[in-house]
This record gives sequence, C-alpha cells and structure tokens, in this order.
Amino acid sequence: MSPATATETVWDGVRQSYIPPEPLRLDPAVRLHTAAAEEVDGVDYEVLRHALWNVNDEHGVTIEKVSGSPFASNAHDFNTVILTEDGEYVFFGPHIQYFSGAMDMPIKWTLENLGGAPGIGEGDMFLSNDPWVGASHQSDVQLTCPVFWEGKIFCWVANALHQYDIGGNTPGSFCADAETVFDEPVPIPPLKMVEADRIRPDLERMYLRHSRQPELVALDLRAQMAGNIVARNRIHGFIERYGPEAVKAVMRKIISDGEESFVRRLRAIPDGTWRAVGYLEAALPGDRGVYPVTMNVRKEGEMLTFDNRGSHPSVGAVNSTFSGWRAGILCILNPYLCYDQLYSTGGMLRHVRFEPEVGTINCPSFPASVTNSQIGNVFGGALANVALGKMMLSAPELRDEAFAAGGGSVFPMSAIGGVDENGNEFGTGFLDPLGGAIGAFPNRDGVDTGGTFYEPKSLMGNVEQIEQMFPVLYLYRREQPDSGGSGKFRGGNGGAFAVVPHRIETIFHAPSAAGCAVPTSLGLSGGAPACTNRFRMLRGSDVRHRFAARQIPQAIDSIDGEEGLVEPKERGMTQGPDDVWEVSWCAGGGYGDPLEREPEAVLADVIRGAVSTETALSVYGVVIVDGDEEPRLDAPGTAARRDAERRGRLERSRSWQEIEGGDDAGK
Amino acid sequence: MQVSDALELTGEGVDRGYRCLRCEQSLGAATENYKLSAAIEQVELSEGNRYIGDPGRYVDERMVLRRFYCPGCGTLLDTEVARQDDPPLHDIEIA
Repeated sequence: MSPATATETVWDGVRQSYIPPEPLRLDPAVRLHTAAAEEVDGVDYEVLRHALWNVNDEHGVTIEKVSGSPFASNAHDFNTVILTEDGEYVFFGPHIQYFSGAMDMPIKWTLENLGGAPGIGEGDMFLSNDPWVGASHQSDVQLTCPVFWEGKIFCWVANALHQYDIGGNTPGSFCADAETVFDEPVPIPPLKMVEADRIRPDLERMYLRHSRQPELVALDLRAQMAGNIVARNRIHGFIERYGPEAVKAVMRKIISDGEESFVRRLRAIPDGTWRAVGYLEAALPGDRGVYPVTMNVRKEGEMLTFDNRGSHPSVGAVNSTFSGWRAGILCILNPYLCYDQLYSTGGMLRHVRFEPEVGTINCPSFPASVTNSQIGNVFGGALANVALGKMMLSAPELRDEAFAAGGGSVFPMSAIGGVDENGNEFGTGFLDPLGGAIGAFPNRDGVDTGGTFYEPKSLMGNVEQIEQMFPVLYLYRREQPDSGGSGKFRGGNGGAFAVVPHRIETIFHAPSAAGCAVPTSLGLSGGAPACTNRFRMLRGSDVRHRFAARQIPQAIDSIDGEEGLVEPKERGMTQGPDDVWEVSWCAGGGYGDPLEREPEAVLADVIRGAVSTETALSVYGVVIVDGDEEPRLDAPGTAARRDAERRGRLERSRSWQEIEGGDDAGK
Repeated sequence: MQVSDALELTGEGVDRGYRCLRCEQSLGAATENYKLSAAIEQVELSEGNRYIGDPGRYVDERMVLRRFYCPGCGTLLDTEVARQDDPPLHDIEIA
C-alpha cells in the first residue's frame, strides 16, 4: 500500500496507523522460507488447497472447544487466518471477516519491529490488540504464530477472539463515554506472549491485570494458543507428506488464482467512481450530533482504490482506525468479487489501494477513542457494499451479484453486567443482532434474518444457553415484519428480542450503538433503506402478572408500563425486575422501485406475515382484499392505485434548484 | 450501458448522457449528476420505513429521505438519506 497521503504522514502505528511498506524492512535476523516448487500437480493442488482451508476451520473448532465462552462457542465471535511467510493472506477463516482483515498488519509489524529483539523463534506467539498497529478494536485480541520449517519462517497462522472484558472504564470494555483511548482498554502492540510454546507468566500477569474477569481471559488465551498449535501441527503434517516446496507452491497458487479471478471480474467493469455516504450519531452519551461517513471507490484498469474523503473528523467514541476501515471493506470485497476463492484475499489485495485521510472518523490519530470501532468497521463495510453494488450494476455479468446493504450495518451492542443469584459477577453482550438480514438483489429478495455480510457462519447464540449462563429470561426473539427496505425486490426483515431479569433485582446496561436516528442499511436503485436500530426499556411493567396468568408477551407494545427514551449510547442505566429490555436491529435495504414489485410477491409476503396489509397498500400500491377469506389480490384496484401513485410522485416533486432555492414546501 | 435498475448511459462524446430505461427521458450529460435532472421528493426520514422513527428523538440536525424520480414516467430511480442542506450525492461517475 502506498497511499497518496503517505508522503507527509508517518504510518508507523504510533500516532498514525501502521501501513506496511513494500517491501517490508526486515531485520537481518529474520529468516524467511521462500522456496516454492515451480509447478504443482493438479490433484495435489486441490487436495492441499482444501486441506489448508480446513486447517482454518479446525483451528476455529479448537478455539470453540477450549474456550467455552458464549462469544466463542455460541456466537463464533472470532476468526482464524493463514498467511505466507511475509504476511500475505492465503485464507481467511469462515467466521467474523473483519477480524481476519486486520491480522496481516500486526504480523508485518512484528516482522519489521521484533525480528531482532526479542526475536521471532520457533514456538513463539505474539499477542496484540492495538488498533493503530492493526486490530478491529481492543476487545478482539490477536495471537499470531510463525510456523517454522528448518529454522525459517514458512508461514503464519493466527486468530483473533473477542474477550469478555479487557479493561477500560466500562464492564465488557465497550466504553461508550470514552473521550480518548486512555479511557479504554490499553492497546497492546505485538508482544511475545508465548515463547517456545510456553506462556510467559510475567506478561500474562500484566495482561490479565487489565481485566475484570481475568480467569476467563486466561482461558481464552489458552484457547487461542491451542488453536494456533493445532493449525501449526496440521501444516507441519502437510510439509512432511508433500514437501515444503510443494506446500509453498500451493499457497502461491491459491493467491495467484484469487488474483486472476479478481482481475477477470474487474475487467468486466467500466472505469469510473462510485460513492456512498451514511451517517453515524451519538459520538458520546447525550451527544445529538450527526457525522457523515463517506466511501469512495475508483476503478481504473485493474486497480480499485478506496478513499474516505468527505468523512467527518474523528469525534467521541465512534471512530475506527485505518485497519478496521480496511478490514470492513475486505468483508464485502470478498463476497462480491472473490466469492469463489474460499476467502483467499491475498491476490485480490494486490489490486486494491487504500488512500485514507488522516484525522477522520475512519482514520483517527492516536489517542482518539477507538474501542467502539466495531461500529465504524462494519458501517464502513456497509457503505462499501453500497458503493461497490452501484459499480457492479454497470457490469452486465456482475449485475445480479450486487445487493443492498444488509442487517448488522451497525451492530447495536447491548452490554449487560451485574451480580447473579449466586453472588457471582457476570457480564456479557447480546449477540442476537448477528441474525441480521440480507439486502435485496437485482433479481431476487434479500433474506429475512439471513445473517450478516461480515460473518458467513453467523450464529445468534442459543437462547437456552444464554438463559443458563446469565440471569435473564427471554420473552421473545422474533422477526420484525415490514422492517426490510421496500423495493422491486424486498430487503430481508430484521428482528427483535426482549428480556427481563431472572431471580435478581438489577441488571446494569451499557448500550452502545449508532444507526438509531438515521438508517444505515441503504437501498440500491430506488430501494428504500431498512429500519433503524432501537433500544427500548419499559419500566414498571405488568410482565410478572402476565407470567402468573401463564402468558408470555410477544411484543413490547402489548405490555403495560412506562417507556422513556433510551439513547444510542448510555451509561449507568439499570433494569429492575419489572422492567422489559428490547433490542431491535436494522434489516436489509431494498432494490428498485417498489411499484414494480410483482403484486403476487407482495400478496405472498402478506400471507406469511413478512409484510403488513397496510404497507402492501401504502408502499407497494397493492390492494389486498382481506376479509373473512384467504387474502387475495384486487388486480384492477392495484393497477389504478399504482397509476395514481406515479402521477402523485411527479405532482409532489420538485427540481433540486427549487428545493435549494429555499422553498420550504420542497424541504 | 445500463448503470442501475432504471438508468442507462447512451451516446458518444458530448452527446453521452443518462436516460431512463423505462421511457427514454433524458437525465443529463454523463459528466453531470443525473439526480440534478430528476424530479425530487424530499420527505421525512420516518417515511422510509415504519420502524424508522423521528430522528429528532436523538439528533438535532434535520435528516431527510430523498426520492429521485424520472420526470417523464415517475419511475423511482434512487433514494438517498441526507442532511437537509446537503446537495444530492454525485454517486455515479463513469469515465
């Protein structure tokens, strides 16, 4: 990477983000294993390609089994990765994509900065979570592991795993009111946590001292170490069976095949520039500002260039560093233009440039607050989703693979904590919004609660397990009709869940989100944006009386109680035994003009409860007769309604000049 | 060249411009923002979806939803979420 702005900026991971130079400035002590066979047998290639892919999968399963944490086991809030000897991606694992997209940087930083002292040796592993060096945010702790062969670094395996609590001013480490990084978990540049396959006790004590739940963090560290060891052993096994030069040749070919596939798709796209803009709010609790976030993508020949010009300067606790911004973009580039390459991104990255503007909300300078980077990482990906989607609509062979932004475009983090019925401290975050939704395509609807674009193996967590581990009782978890963006093809609906305390008097809440005021799942080609995120607290409800009457309420609006406004970011909020907490998450954006949607498709949506009769009429112009019998279409009524709406549109509209001229009615 | 669901780029040189795919209405030169040639309906953000509430609950700035229609046939070409005073985003520039 060599951003245009790099001439005046030192991209060393100290005050500004680390951007690795090409080539890396390696210490002479670093010895890389670079030899590769010139040719590789086709069968061996496919066997080893899929074997390497499965190494990532097995690596992840190991983390799940050893950790046992809800984040790891129930929600797959981690990812794994394999990289070449000098840190070029071979494969991402199948879990949270933006975790992997930030992992080449700490490895390259380690090769540049730690090669001489303390040195990179066999059996060493390096722990890091510094968003300026390269991490999605401090909670997603990385453990990188060089795989040696005959005294040289053959390749790297690595993982990142979300920790329960890694410090900072808020239990759970989502520090909604952090004004700088000094209010947050300490960012840790890569350090040698594991030496010759043994955890260094001095460094571990320092690391665990940051956490409110050190025993869980210690277990997660061992899970991450175990995952790396399993992956390393598998690769050693391949080397022993096929030879190092054959395995390395397969890695090189995986990357070059990915490059070829990416370039082939780029060639189908005309040169041009496409843009998307979205807005984040609530930089801090009580803040009422709105902050634009811009994503520009320029396609020239065989190169894609991303920049963030137009984004707001860094502000409050909604920033994400360059590595998170870049990782968010990779989350969507992969399924859009490299979907047949098993998450191999190294070849693609040879044709992608990043030109971040320093000091912005998505490239802040140290010591900005960055612990809520998960907001910006994902939102950056959602905006890249829209900008790239527009780009792909101009390429006939790629058009049908574009899609509108999906659910989870900003993740509404609902973090809770307190003391459970046994007197033990607890803390967690609800990961139900990973249920997400898929945005609409040019030729088909999105998918209701179809997951998120950044986690192919999305899991929402099992309600029964969550209730077993934490003192909460679910009232419901359900899909939200009408929440998807309207269009010729409809965005997938999102969902909502509600909980009450179980056998305790108080739960402490620290919600942290954006996308509550302004929708973040944008549509394409006239498709409407989806719903917003929303937190709701109903105080003094009658829910316990309802339980006594053997009723389980299925909607917060059906419960009596007092509702006040819950901001996107709150501190010091509590939930009592009669209070109901609901979180609903943004859904998928729509595609195309809703008046062009097939009336039969709207009727089918109404019959299965995905769209209400009211929305069918007011948004889609479809008249449905809904009496005592099965709902049916009124075809002549629908045609007349749609004709009238098209005329009405033009009667209500104005030119931009009229609107800009200050005509209040036009605004 | 089709560039979105209802928009195409036609012609060559100085005649190159955007056109509605449904009714062939011209929507400006290729070098310009086609949205400036569209019929624009600017509405409250809450009209975008029944679960988008009043942004004023959380933010002071007035946010709007813009719908860009073909002035010839009323086909919806694009939507945009924006601050009230921001100009329409020039989102497509094909070389």
